[in-house]
Amino acid sequence: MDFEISHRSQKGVCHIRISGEMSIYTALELKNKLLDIFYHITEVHSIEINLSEVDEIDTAGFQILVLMKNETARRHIALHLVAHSNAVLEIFSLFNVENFFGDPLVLPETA
Amino acid sequence: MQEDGWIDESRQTFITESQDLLVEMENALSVMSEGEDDEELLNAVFRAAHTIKGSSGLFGFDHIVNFTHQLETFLDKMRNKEITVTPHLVQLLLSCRDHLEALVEEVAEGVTKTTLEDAGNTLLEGLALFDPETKKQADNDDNDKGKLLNERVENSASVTRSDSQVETDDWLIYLKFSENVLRNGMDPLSFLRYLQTIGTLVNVTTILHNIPDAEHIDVESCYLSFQISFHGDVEKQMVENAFEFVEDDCDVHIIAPHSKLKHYVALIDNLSEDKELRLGEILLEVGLLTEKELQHALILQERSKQEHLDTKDEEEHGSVLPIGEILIEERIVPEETVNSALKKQQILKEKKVQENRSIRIDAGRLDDLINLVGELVIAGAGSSMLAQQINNEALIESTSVVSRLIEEIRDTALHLRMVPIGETFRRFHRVVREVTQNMDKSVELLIEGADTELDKTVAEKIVDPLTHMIRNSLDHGIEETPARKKAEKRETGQIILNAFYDSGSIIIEVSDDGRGVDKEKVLAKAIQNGLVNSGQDLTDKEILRLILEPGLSTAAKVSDLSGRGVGMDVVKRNLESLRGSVEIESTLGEGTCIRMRLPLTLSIIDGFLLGVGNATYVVPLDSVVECIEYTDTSVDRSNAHYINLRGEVLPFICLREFFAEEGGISQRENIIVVQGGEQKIGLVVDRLLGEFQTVIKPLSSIFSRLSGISGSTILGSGEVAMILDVAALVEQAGKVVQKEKPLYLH
Repeated sequence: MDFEISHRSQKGVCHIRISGEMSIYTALELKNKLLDIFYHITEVHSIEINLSEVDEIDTAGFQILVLMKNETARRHIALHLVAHSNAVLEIFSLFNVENFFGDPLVLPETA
Repeated sequence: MQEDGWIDESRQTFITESQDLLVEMENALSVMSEGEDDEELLNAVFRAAHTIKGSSGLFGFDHIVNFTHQLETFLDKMRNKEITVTPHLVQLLLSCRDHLEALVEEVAEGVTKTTLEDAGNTLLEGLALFDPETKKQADNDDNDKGKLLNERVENSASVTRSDSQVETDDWLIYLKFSENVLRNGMDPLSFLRYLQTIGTLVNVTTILHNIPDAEHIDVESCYLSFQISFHGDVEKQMVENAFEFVEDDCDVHIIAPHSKLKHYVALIDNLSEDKELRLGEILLEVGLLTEKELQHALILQERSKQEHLDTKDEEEHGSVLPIGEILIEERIVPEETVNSALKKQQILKEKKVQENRSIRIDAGRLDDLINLVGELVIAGAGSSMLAQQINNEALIESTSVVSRLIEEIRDTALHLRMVPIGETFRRFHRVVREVTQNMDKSVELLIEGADTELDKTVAEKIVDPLTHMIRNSLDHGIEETPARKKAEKRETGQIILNAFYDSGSIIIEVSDDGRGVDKEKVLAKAIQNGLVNSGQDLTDKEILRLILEPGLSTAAKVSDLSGRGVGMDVVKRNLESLRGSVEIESTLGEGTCIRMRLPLTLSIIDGFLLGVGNATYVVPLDSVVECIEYTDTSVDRSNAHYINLRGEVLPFICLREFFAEEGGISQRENIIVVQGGEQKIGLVVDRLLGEFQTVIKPLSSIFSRLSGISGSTILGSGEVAMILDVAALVEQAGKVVQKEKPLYLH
């Protein structure tokens, strides 16, 4: 399993869910898909990415999140990362970038 | 009691070593007192003081340590240009040196006098007056040190980065990954994770702004860099090892925590002083710098060199950034440690210089070696002679190779005993200074040809004669200042010590620009003493030579005569024992020059073999000018002891007659033209036998009155050959010619 991505727009908010692996192996496809969604949304003032099902993330995957943050900011769209998985939390904490994304972090309940 | 023996022995070493160092110190100070401002000189003085301090510490001579320590501190300030060198200060330092010498002597004698301590304190107080810091301290006790430190920091490197980056007690790591790192299968994450296992990540700053926009991003590239504060009790190498796998893909700077700095400074201080290290190597050794960082810095240095070359900027051209500055600039190591490493390097360098300078070898062992080489030369000559007789080509060739090697060994072995004469010369600065102190004279001693080397024994033995000559020049040669003014001479008199090589000998000249020798007075005195008959017709040279005679040498008689002659017979005697000769030139009112000719070495020479009758003689090759055939057999030798050599009158000596040799007269006699001093003479011989390495065996004292022979040697065949004393023969021939000149004119 590589990764899966789904999205739906509701009330001006685009909900994106990424599940699986955000790594160098999936990075290109992931980026293309994310951007594809991003370029096609209309009348959306904020994007929410649910990361709860990301079970693997590396620097390449992390960079895509940063990229998304930058791109959305440029278009004055808010980006919220929600429901960080443990893998995401770890990398955020290691890189000490919680403030960069500015999202409230909630420790996921242990499944 | 064995232990006592050891202590005695090593104490002796301490004493001789200290004395050597004191001589060095004096030499350096003497040169400095002439206004020479060379850092190397100051370093030499410092080194000497430093080493004496060190070794006296070993023996527990605390009073010496105490004195030298303060002296050393003072010298160090001089080196740092905190104290300027003035002639007066150099004088004081000389006194300090003398005091040290006295202290060492005390040790040698095994007594301690308290008077010396007072003297030492007075000297130190004197030194303190030169120290601007003590002055400052008087009115402003605090802050000075801090200020001083700051100044030094500012001076030491153009880059003065604030130290704040290393204020914390954490390692600071700057990481910049190359874009390829991810593609190469590495992930910055793993390094951070690794660091967590060896310590704590105190703070991580991830720099994200290098990530390009959506259009330009390559998601497989890494755009991140990090600043990491890391806490852990680890060595730098260990931290760097974390990044070992990414070294090509990563730019890493690791800065040691503040608390480590002290540790490193201490490590640097404790580094063994065995070998000279480069700055980089020192930092590497204590673990402040890693191999890779050093390489990196060296590359940067090379690059900056290239840039300088490219810009061709006049000012910047050729100036290469020191590695220390690069390291600081690149934030690889903190400045503090670079400074302490530089200091260490200085010490190592000094140590190195000192070690390079000499190896102490027992003179006896060296003599043994040279004796052996002498035997080897003889044995070698024997085998090549045999090879010649057997006439086996291969054998001849191999013996000739052996001979060549022996020749080289001989030269090298002899060279071991050679010392530059400069050291001998320089000690006379002191003589000059001391003698003139109480006189109304100002004299400077100039040294030329200080690099000229000669046998150590010879160098030692000429000290006495030289001292006599210089005392003479000072006492009687150089006039008092008013007299010099009157004579329209430079107020400061000059004594020049010069040394150079001349045809296998070393010539040492002592010349002054004093009043010169009044030949008439010398002659009158000599006649009065019965040295010369009143009717005798003497050349100027001969008259001047008279001052070397014992009859003219007692001080009181001579000083009111012409001033020359105090102990000059000692000079002559000393030189004769060295197979040397003296020549004197003097012009009244203008100065005197005493020229000594000495053999370079006392043991082995290149000789030229001559056959006379059944016997063989050796003449030093250096004195041989040319060989010609002696065809005119009709010359009546008893009357005409000179030939016409291309229009030059050449006196000659027939060795067969001179040494009363018998044996078959050769059909074709040869004349070998030799030169002794200015004069050339011919020697008539039966056979020319070619070059021969000659080991000089001194003749026993029974033969000391034998004229024309200076020694003997053993030939390869085991035969004994006499070595001709060319100077004596020249003199002999001169007499013969002079006697016969009237005959010739008639």
